[in-house]
Amino acid sequence: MARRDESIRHLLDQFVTVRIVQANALDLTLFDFDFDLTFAVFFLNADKTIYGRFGTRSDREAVRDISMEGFRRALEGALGLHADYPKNRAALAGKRATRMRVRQPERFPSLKKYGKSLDYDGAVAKSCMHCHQVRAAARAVLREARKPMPDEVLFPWPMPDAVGLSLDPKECATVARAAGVAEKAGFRAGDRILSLAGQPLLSIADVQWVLDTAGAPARIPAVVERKGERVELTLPLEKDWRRGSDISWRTTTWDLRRMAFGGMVLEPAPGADGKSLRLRVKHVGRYGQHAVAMRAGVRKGDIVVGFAGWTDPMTESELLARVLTKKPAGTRVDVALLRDGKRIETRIRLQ
Amino acid sequence: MTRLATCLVLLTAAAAAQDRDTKVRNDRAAFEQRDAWVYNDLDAGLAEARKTGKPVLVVIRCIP
Repeated sequence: MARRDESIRHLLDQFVTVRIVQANALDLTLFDFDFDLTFAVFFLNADKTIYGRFGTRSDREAVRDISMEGFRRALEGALGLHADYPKNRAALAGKRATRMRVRQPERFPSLKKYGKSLDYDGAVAKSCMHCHQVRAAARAVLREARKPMPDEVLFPWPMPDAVGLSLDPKECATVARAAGVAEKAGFRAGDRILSLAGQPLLSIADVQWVLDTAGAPARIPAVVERKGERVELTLPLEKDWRRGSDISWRTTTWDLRRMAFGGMVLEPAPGADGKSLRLRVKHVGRYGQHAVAMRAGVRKGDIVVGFAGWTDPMTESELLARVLTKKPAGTRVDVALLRDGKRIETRIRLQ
Repeated sequence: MTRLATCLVLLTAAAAAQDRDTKVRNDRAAFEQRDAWVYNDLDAGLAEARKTGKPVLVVIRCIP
């Protein structure tokens, strides 16, 4: 689609373009991105220095997160960084970090069955490792070790909106609206963020990378351009800054629901008063380890009003986080449900 | 009924997997006809970049 746009085609022609359609044998020390995406772009130097990333998705409609105009800006920005390389090498160093325990995904225990390349002469789809499986495999290691899942694992790649920065998807990193923490830090609508943590920015994905790798708590230096002037700001991240993010849209949340809910998918229930837990069972898994809740008697349409003794109001994402940080695998928890006005109690075993 | 349901699920999954097999093969066929793209070979892309002095754009794409 991008190649049909003549201006973008002209920019693309200035790159060596590589298409990768598998997570098999992916170098995770280089290709560290939001593994819930089905489309992600890296701009690189031939020595594997990362100029930037492009590609963002959230719980919102796609046009609010990504655009062809934004892609054009990212291409132009990458070409600019390439022209300045290697003078800008120091500023680009932070765009790469070794965060995964393994270098290649096939080394995770749950992904050992995959080979390094696709079996085009055989069952090619079955031989293909999906990107989201990489995150699921990393989480499974923690869960099987009975370790609490840290926020950076549960809430990966939060949108900048989590700290009050709403960015324009048609620009590299321009503030459309500043609220909350970002507004208090001095960000304003119209600010063009030139750098964050010293890194130049090509896209919203680059902003997400800085936030995702910053640690918490943290203080991130920023330089913005405002009405022709450069302004220096500092963006503070509190310890639990990720927790407001909605992870329900993520493909990888499916496996979290297996671990924490026995396969239930939960959504806000009608009549919720904000004073107590009230989540409607939108779906109950029917097969294998995703059917634990079904086998415990849970049905679609039930209202969860108590979970492991908790009755305070929570979203699905908040309840997932609480379970996976406080209750190890193997724990049996009580689940209180309302069905046709009647209260039902059951138990499920966490995985 | 359970066995029938299981068979239906397996047949549906087999049909869906076949469709995806075709999509994955067709994707390679379509891109390998285009000189503009290096397909599934980062090392070849980096080698071309070293030869030409161009930057590299890598698209990681999950074929639905």
